Amino acid sequence: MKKIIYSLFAFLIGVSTLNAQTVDRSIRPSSAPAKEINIKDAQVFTLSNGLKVFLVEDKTTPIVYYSLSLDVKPALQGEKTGMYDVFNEVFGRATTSRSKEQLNREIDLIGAQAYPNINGVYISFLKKYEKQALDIFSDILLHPVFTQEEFDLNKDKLKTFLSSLGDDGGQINERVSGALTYGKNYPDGEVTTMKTIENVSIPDLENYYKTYFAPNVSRLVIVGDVSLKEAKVAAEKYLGKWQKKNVPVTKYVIPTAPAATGVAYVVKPGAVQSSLDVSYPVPFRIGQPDYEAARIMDQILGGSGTGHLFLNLRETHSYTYGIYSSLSADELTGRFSLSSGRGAASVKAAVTDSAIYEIFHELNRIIDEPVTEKELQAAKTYRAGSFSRSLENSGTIAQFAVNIDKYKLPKDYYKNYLKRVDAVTAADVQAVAKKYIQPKNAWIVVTGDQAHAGGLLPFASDKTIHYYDYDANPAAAPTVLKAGISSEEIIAKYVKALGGKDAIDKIHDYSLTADVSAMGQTLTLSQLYKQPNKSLINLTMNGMAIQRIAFDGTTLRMSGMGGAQDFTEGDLFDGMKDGGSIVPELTYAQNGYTVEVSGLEAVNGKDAYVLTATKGNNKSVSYFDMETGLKVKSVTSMDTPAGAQQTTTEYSDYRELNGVKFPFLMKQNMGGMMMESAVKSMEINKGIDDSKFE
Amino acid sequence: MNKQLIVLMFLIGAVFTVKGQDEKIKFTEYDLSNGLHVILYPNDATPNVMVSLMYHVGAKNEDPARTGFAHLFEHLMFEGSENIGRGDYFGIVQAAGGSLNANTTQDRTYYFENMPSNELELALWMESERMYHAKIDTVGVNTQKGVVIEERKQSYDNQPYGTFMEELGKRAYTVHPYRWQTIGDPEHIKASSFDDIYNFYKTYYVPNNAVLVIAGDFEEKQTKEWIADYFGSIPKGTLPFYRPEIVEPVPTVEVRDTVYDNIQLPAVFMAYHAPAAGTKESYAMDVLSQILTGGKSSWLKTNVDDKGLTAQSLLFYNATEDPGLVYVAGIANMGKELPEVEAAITAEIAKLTAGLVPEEDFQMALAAKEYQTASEYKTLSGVSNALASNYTYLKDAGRINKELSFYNEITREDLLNVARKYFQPNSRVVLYYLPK
Repeated sequence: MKKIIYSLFAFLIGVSTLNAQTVDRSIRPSSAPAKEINIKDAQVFTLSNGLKVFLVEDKTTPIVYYSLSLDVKPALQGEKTGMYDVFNEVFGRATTSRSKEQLNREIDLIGAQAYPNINGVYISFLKKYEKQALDIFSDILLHPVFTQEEFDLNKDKLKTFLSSLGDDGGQINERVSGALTYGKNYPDGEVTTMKTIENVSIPDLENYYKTYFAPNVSRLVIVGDVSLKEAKVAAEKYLGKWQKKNVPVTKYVIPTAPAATGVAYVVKPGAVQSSLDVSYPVPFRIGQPDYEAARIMDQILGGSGTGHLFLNLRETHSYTYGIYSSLSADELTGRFSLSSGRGAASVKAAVTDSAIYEIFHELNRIIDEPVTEKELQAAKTYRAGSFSRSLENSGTIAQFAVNIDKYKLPKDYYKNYLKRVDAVTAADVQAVAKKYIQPKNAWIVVTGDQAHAGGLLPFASDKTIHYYDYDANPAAAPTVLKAGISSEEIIAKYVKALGGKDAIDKIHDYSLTADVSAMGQTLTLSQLYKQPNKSLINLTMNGMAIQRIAFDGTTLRMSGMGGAQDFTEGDLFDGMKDGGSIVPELTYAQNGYTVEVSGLEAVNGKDAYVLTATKGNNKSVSYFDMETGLKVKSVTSMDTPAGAQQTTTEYSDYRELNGVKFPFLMKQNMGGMMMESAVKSMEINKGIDDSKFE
Repeated sequence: MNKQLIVLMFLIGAVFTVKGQDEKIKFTEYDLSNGLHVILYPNDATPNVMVSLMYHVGAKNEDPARTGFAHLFEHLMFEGSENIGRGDYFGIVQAAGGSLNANTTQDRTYYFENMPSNELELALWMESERMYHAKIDTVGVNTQKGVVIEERKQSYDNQPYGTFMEELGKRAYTVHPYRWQTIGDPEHIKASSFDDIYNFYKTYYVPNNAVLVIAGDFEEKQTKEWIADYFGSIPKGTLPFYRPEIVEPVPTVEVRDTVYDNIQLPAVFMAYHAPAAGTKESYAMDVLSQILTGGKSSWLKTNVDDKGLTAQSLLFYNATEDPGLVYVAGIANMGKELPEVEAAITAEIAKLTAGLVPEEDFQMALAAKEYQTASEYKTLSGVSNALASNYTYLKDAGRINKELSFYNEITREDLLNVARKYFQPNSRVVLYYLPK
């Protein structure tokens, strides 16, 4: 009521007169009554050669399109996989009466768009060029020529493309995920490789065309300013003489989900992000009774920027730019998978394992917890809105008619769409989650740097990371993954290399100064240390204090140009307390760190044991030279207000003082910022007063 | 049948079959007294409505030490307002059956909601909320900084050749802000402070720096009332807009460099300076780019791609408010050397400056433009974007109905003049991308 009065008031004083506040902004406007969505019917007719035609008349645009699609189940490509890819590039580029150049120029002269491919031919044009366009359309479809020149050119380009795959982790991941999900004996699982492409020849393309292109297995969609009479005349004139024929149908082995969840890893050295998927085939088909409930469940789980996956991985954790789930339906089998919305989902490399953990958390949550009434209502309204918006494109109406025909749906299937959506309950959603979301029978597929593979072990039911190459073939695990040594042994070896525990224990305190160069500047670092973990670091530039970090065992005090701050708890505090001694590795266990050997990896060309220590959000990966036992590198990650920060440090120039080796050179990389610290002087056991560390 | 005859037939055919396709896009427009420009485009084909707001601020308005800011800000505008809780923005629109998004360029920031028509008031309320009193807290800022940095990795750093515009831009410009890209420098993004954010908001997110477009199924009188209710009370901005009036001097020496990237196939990227949006020259440049790279028989496709020199070549010109760049790219086919690729592409460009383009090629480009324009105006989003952009850059939304005539006014002589002015070997940047 209040709003009506306000509106009236606004109206009375006129729209151009401004008032301080004419509406109560704190009240969210309520919906006006929804308008009815009118769904036009497509007009359907069949030519005597069996070609089914679906027409949607739309007078609002001068653009018309004709789209002919085959509905066939062709033989597998097998050793000739890639034949479809070549076909897509060569088919329809020349005809018996038009050379490639002639055809291209005729298409360009009318500004038309023509896309011939293995599934049919699409052409879109301005109505005024209808005659010319349809002449080209039927010529491409009925009289194609597969020329040697075009074949060679495109086979070469395909090989070029395959050779460039290593550029793009996302594409690699999609290839491998598809192959694992469907299996290589199913059309969607076949993988084109350099080898299989070599087996493809022009007769293969010609044979495919002769076998599968036929009117009786095709549907023609016409959308635009075309009347039924015009459509009938045009279809008959341009495609009426196309001969029907018997088209063979292949029976495929329908893929099934893995018996238990497995991890597949493709190594892409140096990737700054990991591409990932959680994928499996699932029987899911348009028209199933629970189809709408399943789409709503998928919507809530990961269908948009308000999906559980997006809110968790992007909005809460900043792991990714975007992540969505997709439960897609198809005639023979459906599929569950993830994406970024524009290809494979990707997350920052350092959080690969955490991202998988959160994804599985969300998959389990949608099964275990019923969705809230609010979520359900929102998802239903969203789907209704999307449905309405999809009708802006007249092609949608044609697609409805095609689906009704292809999937044998009731005639009023789409007219009842909104009713079906509206009838879905929270219990229905949970039931379909249990049925279609299968965290225990999925492939986890990741393409990324090798360093992040080990973290995925906990997700593998068989406790094995299965490595694959870019062509989705099983591959050997890169280098020796098993270090063959325990964490205790690595640490003991390290301590011995430094000079032994006794010598280390005798270092009561030390002080050092170092020159630090970063971004073209030279700074001075001085550090004091006293047992067991007291520490003071002063960073100065030309005598001016930049940063002071003091830890007296109970309080961490950080001060700099921006003021001072004290910490007595938190990740930063823990990091300082636990990492403050000369060999923090010795006290990892008692400080509550989980320590594990992550394998062997080369650091600057020399093999090193990799040790990962984790506590809360603090994670530190240390690399110990296999030969010398000394620590050569560490990678520490910490959650900071600006997101997770990762610092890589390389240690070298070890020098012995009082029987203990200290690294005199440290090279650090913090998110691309390089810093080099060289120790200039170091003194041991000169006695330092406790008050220095306050 | 010879070729001239075919052309003639097409042209004659076109004249006789034209019917009722010159219908104008009918819209109304007015200003609120706080300076907000409003454009209404009614179209009740389906019960949907699109609300869009274009703010005249983009990366070129940024402080050179805070690049990426306009885009970070776009993310922050989804955080919430005085009356919309943090993170609720997406949810409210979707729960009403709508969809929404935004994007940022060097020149402007664009927000839009596609709603069922019965939720128009909601969309107006939401857009007005973030213009009036967006609410941004540290949690939101830190989260979105992280998200933007991941976006940069996903869309640029981790994409093969993903940095080419950045690498070309910083070499093509010495003083103009187009020398940096919208995504910005991650260090600048991390460093941006709360004050930066507040000042940016107060300066640019004001009614007198924006245009509101309503397109679709709505009742005009009621809609105007709602606009007055929700937007009328927002005060006019008083802080000065920084609109760089920096003119980039025309370079006189070609810049050449090499970039090492995580790629397998070497590629050459080039940038030539190009005319600003809305100028006659810009329409001519658009036609030239169509001739080089548009259709199936365009010159680069025919003489470079189809000769097997490149896996892909292309030329890309998207007119910007200030004079921008036209980008040219050639990714070498396996076994082909970059100098060979570069020479072949440059030879095609040189043909444009050597003499008049053939009449038939010119007609093809115009036919393509006619198709593209019709295609763009098929959707509410295409019309909304064109109305908003024409108003924002040229203060004339009505250009939407003259678009084709601008192309048709171009002559082949104009093409030659523009090609000679801009496709100057001495003012271009050439980058070789090589595998690391």
